[in-house]
Amino acid sequence: MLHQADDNELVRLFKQHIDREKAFTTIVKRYQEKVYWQIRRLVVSHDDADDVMQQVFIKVWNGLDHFREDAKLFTWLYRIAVNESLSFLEQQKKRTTVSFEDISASVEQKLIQEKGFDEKEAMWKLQKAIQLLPEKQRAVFNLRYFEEMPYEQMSEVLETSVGALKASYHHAVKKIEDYILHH
Amino acid sequence: MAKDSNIQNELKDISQAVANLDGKTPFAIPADYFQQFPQKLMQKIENESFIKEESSLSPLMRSLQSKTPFEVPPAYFNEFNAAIPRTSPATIKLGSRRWISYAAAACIGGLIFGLIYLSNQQSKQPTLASNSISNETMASYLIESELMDDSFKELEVSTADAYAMLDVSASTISDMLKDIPDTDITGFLDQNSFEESKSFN
Repeated sequence: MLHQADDNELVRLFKQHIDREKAFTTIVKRYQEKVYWQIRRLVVSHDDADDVMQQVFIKVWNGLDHFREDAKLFTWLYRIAVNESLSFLEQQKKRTTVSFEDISASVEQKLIQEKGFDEKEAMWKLQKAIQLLPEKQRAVFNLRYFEEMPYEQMSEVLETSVGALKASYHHAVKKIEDYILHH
Repeated sequence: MAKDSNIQNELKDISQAVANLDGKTPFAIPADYFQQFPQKLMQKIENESFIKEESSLSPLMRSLQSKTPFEVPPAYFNEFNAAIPRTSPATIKLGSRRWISYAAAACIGGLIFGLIYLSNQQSKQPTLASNSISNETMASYLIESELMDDSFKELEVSTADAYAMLDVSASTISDMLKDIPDTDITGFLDQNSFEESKSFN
């Protein structure tokens, strides 16, 4: 059964065109939730997260033949997800700049539009504070705080040194603390 | 889910307030989203890939056979290899003397450049020398030369004084002039008295 096969086996089946689609679907099913939440925490809206996630897995489909198995499949998936999310946010920022909208206002608007939003609740306040961080710092905080990812793996995902990641996480937590205590 | 104790401790060290927060993500997602996503994704991939392109060809295109209608003479490919002429392998001449002409050209060029450079240097020398002397050196030189002039003047004065101070008696002069004929002395005196009067006038 394919769902019992490990990642390397699935990649091999995909590359050798043996049950290619089934192997790929198994990979999608295995990692879609983790990838989705990583994207969603960065882009906030579900529709945006859905668009980005489709782009991520299309890239995986197109690139899996060239995937080097010395890296972990999950790390590679996360890297694509973070890069796609950051590209999406960058494009969105450009659109906002062109239309002279306030970026922080648009982020707040997105959160307010979320179902069940209550700014008095700590978890929403936390989300608001996270959205005020710079994009890459937001990715660092999310991977560490929500995914509990070791710095070494984060370093592979974000292609940044462990020292820089620790510093970035420290700054992110301090900024969030400041927001929580003053709002 | 209980948080990793190391990560929780790290967070507490940075901020107790953030560590105390409930780390849940409050976002909602549509029901059955993850059940439907793989199928939706595969549909999109199929739409974008050649698999779909092949199956979506027009009935006319699909009815066409993929065979090429051209024909080749019988046993063409068997004879093709034999028809290839045998050529001797190309040799690369390692002992090429082209470098000698390059070296000679470089030497001549260097020589011409050197000559032009030297002639330029010579024409520029006075300017360069005057430019290279600092103001201080020039000033000290002028002071020294002025001092030298003064010392020469002093020397001239002292020589004149020395001659004036010479006490020459008439007997000494007659001793000195006793071997010189009178005609020579008269001639000398005539010549000197003439020059002296000329300089005074």
